[in-house]
Amino acid sequence: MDDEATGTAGMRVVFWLWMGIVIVGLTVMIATPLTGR
Amino acid sequence: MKGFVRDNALSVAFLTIFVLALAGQSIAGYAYNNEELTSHGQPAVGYLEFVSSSAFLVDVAENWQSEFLQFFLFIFATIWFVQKGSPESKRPGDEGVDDDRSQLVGAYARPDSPSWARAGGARQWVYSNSLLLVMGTVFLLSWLAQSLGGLVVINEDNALHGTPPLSWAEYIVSADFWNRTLQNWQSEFLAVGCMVAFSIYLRQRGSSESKPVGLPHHESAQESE
Repeated sequence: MDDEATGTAGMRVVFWLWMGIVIVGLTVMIATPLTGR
Repeated sequence: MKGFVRDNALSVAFLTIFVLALAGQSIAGYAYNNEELTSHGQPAVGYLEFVSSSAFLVDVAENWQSEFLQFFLFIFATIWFVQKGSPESKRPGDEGVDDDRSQLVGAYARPDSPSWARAGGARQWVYSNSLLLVMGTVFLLSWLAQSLGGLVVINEDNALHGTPPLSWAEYIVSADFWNRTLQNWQSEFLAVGCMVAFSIYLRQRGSSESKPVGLPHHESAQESE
């Protein structure tokens, strides 16, 4: 993989990493109180 | 791996301190929660039970919503409002959404522009506003999460004191909900206002958040020169 391809893949990884944290966090924070916990 | 860390150091650094701060919050919150429970004659709860409870999650959600509101408002406000001299702002006279040529959309898109910037119609509109749409959605969902978690917590407290439980509609107009909400909002607005104003006259050499050290105070941003 050349430098440019590696850089693009890294950008995609960090984008989806942060997006994943937000999606999982929101799901847990909304679902948990709905179960009454 | 070395190249990945170098190219994405800002994300990696903030991910690291985010995880550490969240872990720290969970430990301190767990200790505080158990102190409160035992002082009221209630049994202490386990760590895993605490971190999967509304008592912990409402504190996380109330901070999330205010941070995402801060960025949502800042992104929106910087389209239409300027601050002369601030690197966070466009120059006076540059207010608005800009023309297609300077935004590289539609016929002015480059060969390597994102495909939705080249596309017309709804796709271009969605992509042109995607940052604001995502930040706004996360803000609203975090605020919803805060309201749901806060309701569970206040109703647990009400049960201990023999007070009738609140409905969600009652909770979102309650003092507890707005106290949690506004105490976070005011600090976000203060920080943004200070950043905009302080960066007119103050500098941090090497930071993309600052003007170059020698740039005159009255110049907003180099990009718009």
